Order: sequence, then C-alpha cells, then structure tokens
Amino acid sequence: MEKLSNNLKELRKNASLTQADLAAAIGVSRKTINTIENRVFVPSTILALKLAIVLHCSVHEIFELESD
Amino acid sequence: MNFVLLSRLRLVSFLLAGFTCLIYAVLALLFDRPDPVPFWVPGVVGALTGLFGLITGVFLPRVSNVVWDELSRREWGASLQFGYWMALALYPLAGALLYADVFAWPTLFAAMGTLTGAAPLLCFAWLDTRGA
Repeated sequence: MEKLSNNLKELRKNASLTQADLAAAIGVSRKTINTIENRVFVPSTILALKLAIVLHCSVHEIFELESD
Repeated sequence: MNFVLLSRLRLVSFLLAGFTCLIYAVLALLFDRPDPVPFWVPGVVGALTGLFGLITGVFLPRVSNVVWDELSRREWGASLQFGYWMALALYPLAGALLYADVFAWPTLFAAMGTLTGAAPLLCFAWLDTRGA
C-alpha cells in the first residue's frame, strides 16, 4: 500500500519559518502544521497548494507517494 | 483576541458543556430520577456554548476561521461520528436496563439524551488537546 510522505519540515526550515509563521501565512493553526509534518493529518489539495505557494515550490516537492 | 486564546476558550466551553451533560447523566442514574439537578441546566450550558461559537464566528470571522481550520473541522466530523454511534449503542443498552427493571424509563431517557450530547463534545475536546 502506498503512503503519503512529505518534506514539509525540511522545506519550512529552509525557508527560515517556524510552524507558527507558516500556520499564520496560510491561515491555519500551528497544530495543523505540526500534524502534517508528523504525517498524522493529510491536508486537502487547497491547503497543499497554499503551502506550496508560501514555500515557493511545487506540491510534488512537498508531498510524495512512497510504497511499503 | 488571537486564535490561541479563542481556541482555548472553545476547548473550555466544550469541556464545560460536555462534562455538564455527562455529570447530569451519571447523577440521573445514581439517584434514579430524570432531574437530579434542574432539568434545564444541560440545555442552557449547551445553548451558551453554541451562542459563544456563533458570536465569535460573526464578530471574529478571521480568527474563527483559523480556529475552525481544516484539521479542526475534520476532528469535529470525527466527533460527530463518534456521537452518532454512541447514541445508537445507547438504545440496546437502555432497552436491556429497562427490560431488567434496573431504571425507570424517564431516568433512562434523561441519561440517554445527555450522554448523546456529551459524547461529541468530549470526543472533540480530547482530539483537540491531542498533538497540540
């Protein structure tokens, strides 16, 4: 089965943003960012696109499918 | 008001309403009477919780949108699912207790109603605090 992994933490740190900064930039709570980074919560396409815009990258750079 | 404060106030209001309903149900079963405290208490606390959400949504839309973001809405959906199954599970349980003549039906009716109200509120409070 395929799993969704993400590089959000690395990309956020590369952009010198805290979880709170990123959360404020896309209008969600810090917990939402934290749960995405920890792969607890899979965001919607809209939220994924907002993340990509703020981090100046494509959605594919943030999220990727990985097989078991 | 910032979203951290509003998020905490929401949690407190949900805990208050949830525990009011839960305690009402426990007291009803403990004393085997449908009104262990004035019957309007759970309803008023629940209505005030709803009013708080409505007022903050109307007057603080930007902050409220952050507090009720995608994750929160999903957690609320999961809480409602839990409340639905809890409400369904209470019917056979109450039926069995009624059949065994453990409680009178007015007591069970009051307990079922308040437990049905408490379930999604307390489930959401638990989900909200998890991983915060």
